Amino acid sequence: MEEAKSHLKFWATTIVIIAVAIYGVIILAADSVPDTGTPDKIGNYDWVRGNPEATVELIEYSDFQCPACGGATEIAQLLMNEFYDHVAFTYRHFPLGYHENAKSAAAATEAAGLQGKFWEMHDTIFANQKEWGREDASEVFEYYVWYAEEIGLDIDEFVEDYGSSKVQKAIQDDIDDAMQIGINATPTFFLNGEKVTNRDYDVFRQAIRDAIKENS
Amino acid sequence: MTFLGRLLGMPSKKIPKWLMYGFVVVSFLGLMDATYLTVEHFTGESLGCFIFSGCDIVTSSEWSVIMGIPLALMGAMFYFGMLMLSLLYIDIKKTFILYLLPLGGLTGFLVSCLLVYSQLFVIEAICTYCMISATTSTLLFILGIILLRKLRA
Repeated sequence: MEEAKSHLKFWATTIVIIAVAIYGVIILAADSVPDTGTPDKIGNYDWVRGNPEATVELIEYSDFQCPACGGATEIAQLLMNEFYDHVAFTYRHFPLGYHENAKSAAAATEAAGLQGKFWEMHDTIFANQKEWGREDASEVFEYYVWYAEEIGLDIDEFVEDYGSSKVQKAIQDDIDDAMQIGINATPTFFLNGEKVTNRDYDVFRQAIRDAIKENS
Repeated sequence: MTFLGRLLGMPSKKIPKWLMYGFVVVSFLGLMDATYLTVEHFTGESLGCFIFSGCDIVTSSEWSVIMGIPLALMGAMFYFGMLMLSLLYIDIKKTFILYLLPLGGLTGFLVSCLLVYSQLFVIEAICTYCMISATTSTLLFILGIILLRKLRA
């Protein structure tokens, strides 16, 4: 009887300790996501894909050299193919310091945008991320020029715009906004001002469907 | 007598306490790490590039799920199993448990080698918490070898 009690005490104590520790880790992991502020609504300075008049706004803060952003872009494209008429999607720049080509890639897209081809350059840059992303910062511009040729840009104009203060300002404004609302990682999505915490395709898709339903 | 029967009827061996507590501590740490990774997997927050800590694209890559089950969850189950086995031995002192621990340690170590290889050469990115798990499984493997040597002594 005493022995049975001792076994019971041993296992009861052990299971309680393990359960408390697991609960603590779950709380810690769930709380490790910092709160962020709300980004500005889509304005006329944003590049919009989808329906600019839509009541549902999807905003992405992203870095062209971030591998996870490449993956997220595929998901975003799939979602926009489905919800093109119901969602206004915009891409905002948040190039991280340790990605040495991220800012120049952002400049390439902004320069392409001045010729009306922001999204064409955005898609090309992401599609070839592994190619230009591994290049030295001093050599990477050649790639942007190739892509500019590929999507049919006026190259002289592209080169001029690429280094312009207008392009640099557009990128810096996005970075300042991102810093101000406390974004600490890319990609970060906001759906109608709410941070998207689960980017699993099915969960994300359902969130958009719900937002469309709520706003229709 | 069957092999299992012989194993179950084995006389108890003198195993140093530190060795068994080593299994408990390392399995417990592995369980906490794998639990953290599992939560991150399900919340989808781990996938991204962070301002200060770099990119973590491993835990939500296509390699992070096998047959619909997240690897992190499998890892948590593995460490939980190892923890329960070591505690069971501490409680009932049955020698057959001592042969299961090195077997578990070897399995965990081989899987970890494969995962570290995937991180380095396939995904080409490192996940800190996955490397912690690789370390704990390697420690369990080493403890398993020490245990086997004690059993043969």
